[in-house]
Amino acid sequence: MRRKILTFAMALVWVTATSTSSVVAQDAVAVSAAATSDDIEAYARHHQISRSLAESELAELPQIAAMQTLLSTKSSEIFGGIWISHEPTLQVNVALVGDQPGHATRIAAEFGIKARVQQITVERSYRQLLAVADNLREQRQVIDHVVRIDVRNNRVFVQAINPAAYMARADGRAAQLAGVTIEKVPMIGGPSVGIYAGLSTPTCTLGWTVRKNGTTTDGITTAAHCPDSQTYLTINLPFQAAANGSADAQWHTTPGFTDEPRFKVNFAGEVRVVTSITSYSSVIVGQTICKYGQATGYGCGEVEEKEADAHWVPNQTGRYISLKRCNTDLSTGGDSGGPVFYNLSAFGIVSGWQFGGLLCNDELVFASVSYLQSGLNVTVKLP
Amino acid sequence: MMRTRNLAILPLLFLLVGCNPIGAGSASPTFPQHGGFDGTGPASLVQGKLVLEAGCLMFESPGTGYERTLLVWPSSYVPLEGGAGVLGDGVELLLGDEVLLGGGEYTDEAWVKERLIGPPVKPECLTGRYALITSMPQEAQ
Repeated sequence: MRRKILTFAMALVWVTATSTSSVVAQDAVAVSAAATSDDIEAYARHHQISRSLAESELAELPQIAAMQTLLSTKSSEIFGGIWISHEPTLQVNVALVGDQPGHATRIAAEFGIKARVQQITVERSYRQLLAVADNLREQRQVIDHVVRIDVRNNRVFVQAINPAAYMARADGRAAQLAGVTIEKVPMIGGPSVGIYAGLSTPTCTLGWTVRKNGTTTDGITTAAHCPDSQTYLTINLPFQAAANGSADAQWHTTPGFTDEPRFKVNFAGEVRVVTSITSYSSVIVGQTICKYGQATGYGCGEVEEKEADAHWVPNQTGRYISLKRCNTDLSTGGDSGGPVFYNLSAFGIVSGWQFGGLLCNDELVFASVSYLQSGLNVTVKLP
Repeated sequence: MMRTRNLAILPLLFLLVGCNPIGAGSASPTFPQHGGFDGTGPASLVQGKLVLEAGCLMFESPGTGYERTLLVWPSSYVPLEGGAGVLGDGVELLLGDEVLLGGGEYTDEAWVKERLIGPPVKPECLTGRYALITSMPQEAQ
């Protein structure tokens, strides 16, 4: 009896497994066919043609690709590129250097291409365009531009965030010598470069990443007495607004960068994620708070007072916080704007320094994150 | 680029190039000064190329066109003859030097004027952007 049950169970398992894998395989085929069908439908819709015309046009693509491969390998000295256009109907455009009467049409016929073929005479081969582009990419000094090829117009061009800065550098001069067009763009693509508190500008340290209240506009802060013109990795950070009084803060948008709720804590580049803010009212005299600035780096001190006179800030209200550690230089030129924190909480940004006593280093003075937020009408970004 | 000189070599330089601190009979640029920050100060830097414009020492920096920032110096600093530069803390800056100085940048003109000592600044020098200098050249990171 036990033997029969075992045999039946094994048979059941076999049947179940066989039927399951069969269903999975059929599903995969169905999914693939559905996806292809969706793509044809989208193609037809986009070009406002019938589905049958879409299918016949798409069926030409392997032959066009084969012609492209042949020309680019066997005739690279005259091949300027291929592109498809759709107005009014599918057309294969073949760019060739010099006078090559009927060449494109003959080759297309050899590949059985039925679509209309247009031959365009160009000055530079695709190989030459590629050489110019590759050379400019190799010479790139700063990631503030992209080098692109436009086969339709037989040209290499550069899109730069700050064309003037690019053209002033050796890589930009090389582009000009190569006769490359340089266009201004608000941002470039590619892997995003993060921007966050503690990074350096030429004159100050960046503070907390913020979002303008009621919007989705993000940016980054620094001290209000820092120059309005700020750059990071030579890229301009457009000035948005400043607040004096108790805030000593200004903020900038960050085109081309990703605003991250992080902060650098030491020269080695260690970063932390900011997970909370600590308001002015929560700060206690005597508690330990730390900071990072590009000049003095990481350091900590104890809160000496919450009513420091920041005389260097217009209309200041005496609500700045000072940190003291007698044997530690907590702040000097270049630190302004840097993050003031403890553990993972944002307390404020570096503002300045004040006399720390005859036998002590100067005290650091910082603006509370509470006044930064209210003064600039922004909120510090958290994850 | 930045050319700073130690005070010890200045006498020789004065003989050679005639860059003297302002004295009797020297051509005198407008040289606005502030009274200091009473043992406190901003922890930022300001950057630019030292130029003489409208008889005032300013920073020229790239911006919308070339921006001019009027420099307001500590009371212990002195201008060089003919507005050729400035001498302070044992360091001499000359026109054309591109430097990072300790100090803060401000646009609140009334607030800046309250901090000025000495004669009033010529209206043509009031650019709307002011740098209150606290220290001589800094090393940028």
